Amino acid sequence: MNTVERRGRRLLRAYPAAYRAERGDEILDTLLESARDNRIGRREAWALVAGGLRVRAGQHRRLTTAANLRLATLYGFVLWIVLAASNELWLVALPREESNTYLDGHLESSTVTWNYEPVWPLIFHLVTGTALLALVVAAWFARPRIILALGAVAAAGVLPWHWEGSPTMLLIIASSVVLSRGAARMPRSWLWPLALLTVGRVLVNAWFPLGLPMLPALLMWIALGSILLWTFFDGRPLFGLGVFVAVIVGLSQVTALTRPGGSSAGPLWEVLVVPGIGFAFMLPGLLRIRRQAVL
Amino acid sequence: MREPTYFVLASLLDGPRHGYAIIKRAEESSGGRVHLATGTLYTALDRLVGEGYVTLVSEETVNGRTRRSYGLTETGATALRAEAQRMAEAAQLVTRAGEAARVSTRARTA
Repeated sequence: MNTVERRGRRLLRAYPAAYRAERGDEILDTLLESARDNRIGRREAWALVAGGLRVRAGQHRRLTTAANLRLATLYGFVLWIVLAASNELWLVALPREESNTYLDGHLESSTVTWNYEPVWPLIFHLVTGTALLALVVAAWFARPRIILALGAVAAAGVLPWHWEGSPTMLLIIASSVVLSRGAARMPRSWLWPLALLTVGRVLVNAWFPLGLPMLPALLMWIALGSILLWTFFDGRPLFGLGVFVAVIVGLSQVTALTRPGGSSAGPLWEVLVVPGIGFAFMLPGLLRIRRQAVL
Repeated sequence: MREPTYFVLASLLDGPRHGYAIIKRAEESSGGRVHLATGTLYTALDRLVGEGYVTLVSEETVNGRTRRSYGLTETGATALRAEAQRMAEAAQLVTRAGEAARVSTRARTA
């Protein structure tokens, strides 16, 4: 193996392993033939890395703008579910007896895992499309609570839910189920920001007393930064982030403003700031998505 | 249709080709203007195969590596002709307008 081939193989690592196993040799063959003066130029190297990242972003298959928007919106909803669920995920790490004690003690003042545990199998199913994995996650939690029933109870105001987001959650989950119907799936590369946000959120709750306040914030900024940078290859996660901020956070604010018995929101213009930021994310995402649909 | 995609399809008009042959043909037919990078070519090929415009024709092993040849499908040829027609009509808008402007200038100076 000469130097050019070694460099070519190194550059090919930008592609996912499964794709590399299928097409790597073929791409390498073409690359070596096009290598002028027996070297891989900077433009050729960048195109190969960009090609690999596009495959990781699922851009090697063309989807219509409508299908891309469907997945992007679904991602926005999943972002919300992940953030909400990971808020209390650290309880899962506790021994069952301890977490039950915690739950009993805090049920009145917290939404805790009661709301969110059943959501995790759904997230796994939405993101990976793997029913088996979803079942394993469901077995892990092993509590026969059905989110729709809880949501309906919450919406009816039977339980003392302290947060106005429960009916919103029911709406978002129902919408996610509708949006997840279709052949196209989210690429696995979209899982990274979700994982970082989850870890950051869990650390906020579980480790904050240990004196690591900067780490969760850093992880969240890395997640947001990676979504912004990824827009160079795929505008859908940024659009999803925009949906999350504009629609879901905005909706929560409107709910807070309009629910009987009080309002935590300020004047109208303050309510519009957050949706405005969301739309500012959605616009570049949308422009990129429109370009992605061109053959 | 993007320019690289157009030239990849056009390079397959006179028969199936493998990766490097597509790059060479696209460069020749564009007068050296379009030089497809390998990464760009395979992204375009993947999308074209997915759309049914291009199909895998043959596969052989050269120097211990897989070499695949791709050919244009009927759908791909139709799409290419439609794109060429669209571009020709767009170009005519400009060339006709240029011709009309020249005629009007000649009439004014006469």
